[in-house]
Amino acid sequence: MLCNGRSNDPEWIALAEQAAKRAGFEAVRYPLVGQAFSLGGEVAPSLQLFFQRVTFTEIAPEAFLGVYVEAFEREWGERLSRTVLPPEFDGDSPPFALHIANVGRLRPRPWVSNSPTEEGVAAVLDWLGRAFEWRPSRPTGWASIRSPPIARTR
Amino acid sequence: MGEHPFTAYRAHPLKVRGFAGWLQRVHSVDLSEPLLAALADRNDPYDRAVMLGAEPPDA
Repeated sequence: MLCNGRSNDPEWIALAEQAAKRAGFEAVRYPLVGQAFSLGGEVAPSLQLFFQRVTFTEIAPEAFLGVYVEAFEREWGERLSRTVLPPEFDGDSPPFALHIANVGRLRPRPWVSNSPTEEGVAAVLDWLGRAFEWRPSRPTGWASIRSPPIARTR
Repeated sequence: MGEHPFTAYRAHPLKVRGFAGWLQRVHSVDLSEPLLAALADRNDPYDRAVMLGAEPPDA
């Protein structure tokens, strides 16, 4: 039976942090919903990660591949701090991103037991390793952003 | 991984609108036509006046 929701199991989150660090990614400075990482710098590839409950006994990693623009996120956060948001507000996302369901090399994603097992951890780490290979080409300047600059990956 | 469609919205439409405005204001890049044409005009739960106000934050 399928179910909805996301897991906040600290063991899976630690695994995501481990995979990010191994790939040279770091937690974004201005928080986004889920576990969000970027390669650092003002404009950088980013990965927003969740562990989705796909059945009552299994989770699967879910990610959005995007570009983190730190100066914009900083300003957005400063504006947010001057407002009052409802308690159910769970955070923001980057303006644009590509869902992993549309990325052939990241399909299928592993469905593993809710509780990390040796086999499940290996499968998720393998998948995360491929997800963290996300490298959109960087814009050569802000003007180049007009014509899809965030285009090709290796 | 192929092409990354820059117009694949991920954030709340108000944030996408904010990003387009920021690009215009800070970098003189006008993406309003490709980005905003299909965007929903929705504010909740944000305060539109603060989030999209013309005046940049003090901090």
